Amino acid sequence: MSKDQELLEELANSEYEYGFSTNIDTEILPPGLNEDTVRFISAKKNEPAWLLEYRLKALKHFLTMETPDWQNFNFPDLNFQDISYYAAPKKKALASLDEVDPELLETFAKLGISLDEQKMLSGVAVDVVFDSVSVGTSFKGKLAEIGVIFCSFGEAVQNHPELVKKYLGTVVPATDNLFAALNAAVFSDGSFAYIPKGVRCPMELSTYFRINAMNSGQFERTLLIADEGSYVSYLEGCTAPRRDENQLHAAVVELIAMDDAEIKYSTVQNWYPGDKDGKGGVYNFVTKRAIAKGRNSKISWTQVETGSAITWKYPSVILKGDNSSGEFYSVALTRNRQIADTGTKMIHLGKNTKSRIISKGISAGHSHNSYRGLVSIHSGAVNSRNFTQCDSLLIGDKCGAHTFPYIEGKNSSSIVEHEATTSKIAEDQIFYLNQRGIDNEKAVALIVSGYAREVLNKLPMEFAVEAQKLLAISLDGSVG
Amino acid sequence: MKQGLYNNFYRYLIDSFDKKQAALTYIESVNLTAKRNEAFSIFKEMGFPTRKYEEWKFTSLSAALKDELQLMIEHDHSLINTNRIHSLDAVHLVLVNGRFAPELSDALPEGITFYDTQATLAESRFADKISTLATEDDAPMLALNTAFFTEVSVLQIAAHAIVEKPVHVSHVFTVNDIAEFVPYRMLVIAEKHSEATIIETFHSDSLVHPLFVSYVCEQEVHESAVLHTHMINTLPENAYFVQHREVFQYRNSVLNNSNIALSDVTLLRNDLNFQLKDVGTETNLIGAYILTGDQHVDNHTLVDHQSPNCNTNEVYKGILLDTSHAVFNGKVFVRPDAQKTNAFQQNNNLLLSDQATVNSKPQLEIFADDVKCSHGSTIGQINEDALFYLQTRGIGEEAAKKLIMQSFIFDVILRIKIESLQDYVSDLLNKKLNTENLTVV
Repeated sequence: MSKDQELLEELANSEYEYGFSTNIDTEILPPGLNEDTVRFISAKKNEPAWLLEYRLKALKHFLTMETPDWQNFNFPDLNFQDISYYAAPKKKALASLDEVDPELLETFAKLGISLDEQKMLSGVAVDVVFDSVSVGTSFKGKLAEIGVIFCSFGEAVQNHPELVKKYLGTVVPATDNLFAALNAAVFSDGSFAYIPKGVRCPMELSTYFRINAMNSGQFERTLLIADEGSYVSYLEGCTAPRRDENQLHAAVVELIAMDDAEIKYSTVQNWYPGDKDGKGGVYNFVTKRAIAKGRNSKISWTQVETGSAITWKYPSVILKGDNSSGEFYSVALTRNRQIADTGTKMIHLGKNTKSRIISKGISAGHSHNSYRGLVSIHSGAVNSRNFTQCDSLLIGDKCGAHTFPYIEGKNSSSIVEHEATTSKIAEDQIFYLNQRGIDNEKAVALIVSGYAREVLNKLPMEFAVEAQKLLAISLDGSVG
Repeated sequence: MKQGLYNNFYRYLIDSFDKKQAALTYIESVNLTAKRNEAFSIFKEMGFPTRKYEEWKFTSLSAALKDELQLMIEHDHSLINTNRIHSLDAVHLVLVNGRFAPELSDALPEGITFYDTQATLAESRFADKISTLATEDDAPMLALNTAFFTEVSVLQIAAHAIVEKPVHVSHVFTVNDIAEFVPYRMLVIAEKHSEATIIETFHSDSLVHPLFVSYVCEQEVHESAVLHTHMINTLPENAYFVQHREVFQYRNSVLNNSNIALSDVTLLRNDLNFQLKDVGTETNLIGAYILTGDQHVDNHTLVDHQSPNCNTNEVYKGILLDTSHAVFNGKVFVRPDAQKTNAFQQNNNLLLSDQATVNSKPQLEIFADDVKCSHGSTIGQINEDALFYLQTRGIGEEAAKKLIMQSFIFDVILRIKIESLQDYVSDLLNKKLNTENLTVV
């Protein structure tokens, strides 16, 4: 027991591994939010008039909205006027990665995601978003050959305005919620990908988001379109430097899959969660939504959430096309004072649509982990099928695990199944492993990794390794 | 932020509160009057709940709250059907529109005492308990009842009494030629080491004018007491029934509750809250509903595990046809101290019409680690294989479907331990399934 206690102590006190701050001169807009802010951002990015209009409309709507009160935690004290809405590294327009500030490259090296290494070893095209401006892209040429467009959002606005204009805000309207409205008004940059008809994207598209400049909220916008018969797997991973003031991250991700297209979107999120007393940490309030627009289209969300002070997001799928399918696989781990309120929405509109939800929550310390989900089978969605499983694992007696599943059925040919369990790691499981000569610490790691395996298996290989490592760091020896 | 419904009936109630208080025939304690005033201000502020309230997200009262509703005043019940269950050997207690009707009721056996409105209000230990178990904050329908109820009764089971004969509390409502609103309540106290069975039926002959009933039942189940409760709704079309039930369970007590809605009631809303105040309790909840036509049934259950070593088991099953709507919201709350909790919950629905809707929300909120909690919820159809199997045995398609529906619900009914009551409920089930307007295709 005392050993466990020690381990718990040690674990609780272990500092955030990636907590460091890079000193690069950034161009920062003074804090505040008004029309001028939006005009400044838009002008800075040399945007066409229709986009400025879109932003202004969103801002107007944002200013009329109230803060939500339905979530399972206290809404943090956010003053939107105290946030700086634009920060960009000063040295811009670099021709190649060699020109990137060496300090920045060093930061990536510390994170173990050195671009060169990644390029060589994994064959992944990385579009690095450092704060708000893309500073480097790779494999662009290779992708361009087969017609795949993968670039920063800003570039897409300049080079492919017709695509951006056609799809921007069609899945997540600017009026959707408070943070989507805020994002639509002030989004700085992000990623854009378009996979043309019949193309199977030969590599995993990948982006690393980092929050760096003091007090600069990051408002990413991701738009991904998979045209007829195409396939793409997209990775998103984040680590953030240590910070004492809370930072808001309100991103919007929109995915669109046409007939027979498939999108696989994976996230590993490990932003700074705050210290053990809950001081600091990132507010991760993200709106992620996909539409399976065409027949036989497929969307799959996989997420491993271990970071952030508050994680609040519901990657959702609108199953509009007949025979389309949606998947959601999630592992959310919270410890210390972290809060996760996450889950998904599966909106069945088309015939023969299928969805599958596997959610695994792990809470430790004083943290609270909620699954909130909606499965809605509309009356036109005949022969639809849903399976939901959401399990929670509790470690320690000060934490909480909550589930709020909304299940709605509106036709007589669909089947919806939901099951959920909550338990702690059973003593007999530990005992069984002890018998085989495996100590407590390893036993817990083993059980947790087995518990999360169903989800981790869905991640692309290199991500799965990182995710496994993250879980292990957080959970070793935490059996009480 | 005001989100309530403030319609004509609301205004009528607000206007009649003082008049109603002045017209009370019994002397009320100062405490109760104070509670009423408080509840009245809550209701006045909140209005009737609308779908903007999370707890009323799927149930709208606006169609039920007709303009012409009036508070029930006097009633003639000389010709009333007291809804006796003939095969059941039970002690019969009749409440007509919430008021005790001694001439229609049986004498009570030893160990159990009944107090009518006058007797209840005269005893301060009862009067002061009213609305201390169920508290009104955030519950406008409960506040409405507290402010407006005129009839209240108490059923007390003495300490160490084992009452063998079930007590059948028959709630009957008179058929009048105006639309009426009936708010009333009851308090059940099972003292230490007692055991009793209480069967509550809710009945009225067929209604031409709407009947809106607001019933609040507060229950205390003391140390090592065992209380079996059954709620059987046999209200006809045009009846709107809103119930709030608050149960406090103490050390090692057992509470069983069955909630049967196989009637034609237009709207039924149950808020069943169980607060597990001390260690070692057991709570078993079962429920069954078959909905046809435009029926709407909403069961909200909350089991609040406040102490360690408590067990709960919950199974609710229902069948939906036509344009009906069923809502199930089962909340299990496990407080930080409630270690070694076992809580299981299940809600299964057969959705047999494209126009019907099921909203199921099995919710877990857990703040302790050494627990085993699970819930399951399904929405599905008649199993094709089972149907085919029956058809190969020469059973017609419609008959086979009815057989499957019957067995689906019978799974719940089987858990009613009193055989004659089980038969009675099976009859209700068969009656519901064999009405001419029930077509399964």
